[in-house]
Amino acid sequence: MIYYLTALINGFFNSINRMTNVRAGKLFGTANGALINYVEATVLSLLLMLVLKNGNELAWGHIVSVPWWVYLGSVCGLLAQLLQIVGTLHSNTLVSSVLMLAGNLGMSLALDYVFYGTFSLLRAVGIFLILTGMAWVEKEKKPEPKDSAANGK
Amino acid sequence: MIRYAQLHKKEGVSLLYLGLLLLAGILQGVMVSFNGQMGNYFSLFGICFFVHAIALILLFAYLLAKRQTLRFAGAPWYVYLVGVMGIAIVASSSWCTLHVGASAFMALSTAGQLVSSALIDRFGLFGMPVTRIRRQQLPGYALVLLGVILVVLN
Repeated sequence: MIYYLTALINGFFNSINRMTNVRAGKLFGTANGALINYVEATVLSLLLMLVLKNGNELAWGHIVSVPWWVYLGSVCGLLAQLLQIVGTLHSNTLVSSVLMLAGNLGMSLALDYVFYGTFSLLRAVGIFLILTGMAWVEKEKKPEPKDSAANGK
Repeated sequence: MIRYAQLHKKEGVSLLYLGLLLLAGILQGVMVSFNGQMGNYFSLFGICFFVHAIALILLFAYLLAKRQTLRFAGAPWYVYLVGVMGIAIVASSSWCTLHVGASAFMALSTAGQLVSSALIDRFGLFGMPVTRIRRQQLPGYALVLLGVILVVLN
């Protein structure tokens, strides 16, 4: 249960984090804006590692004993962030969120099969429903005219 | 003829951008799964450190190659919390993925994102236009909820 709750909270803060990143990108440029996130997070996580006495994980012997492909997650994340910015600039919110979610959830389903050997047709149906629901919510989204929003109408 | 060619060229470019967005989503899925696997070798903050440090090196290299000046000053206070949120998000996503799998994690995370996005839109936070939740959107929310339940229970 705690994992499910944490995943929900993770998603909640994910949107807030994305909006903050967008704000940083607007103020300092895309790369500079992303740099704030990475500098801060690298320094803080290093400090937390050392405080919690996990500094031995920084030993070269340990680093090279880990399969190399595990480190590619970070590269994928950075590439995804850049592609998302380029793609979103040339499409609309509906298309960009649904396409990204389709790739994301589809890949998660495939990788669950690779890493845990689990695949369920009902799970795939669930992912299809999430995508349809997201598309629906985005399609029906209509910003309010500025003056009526200001008057609370 | 020229207009026809231009139209088709434009369609081709649009398809390319749509492909890029799909690829971005696929890469995000790979990232979540790989970061989850990192949990087999590193502590939670160890994962955060390597995930951010590798990207930081790549980003630095890019900025150096582009000869861009680094600028950090003059943003609203909450912009500087982005790194703290980044750590919390990477740590919690790796922890959850390792225990419940990537698809269950992503499904629940999507539901959480939908809630916070709705709140951001409703109150016009971060300079976004105010967008109230409409009755017509409710079936969409219901479908997402049903989808999440199916993914989690299976």
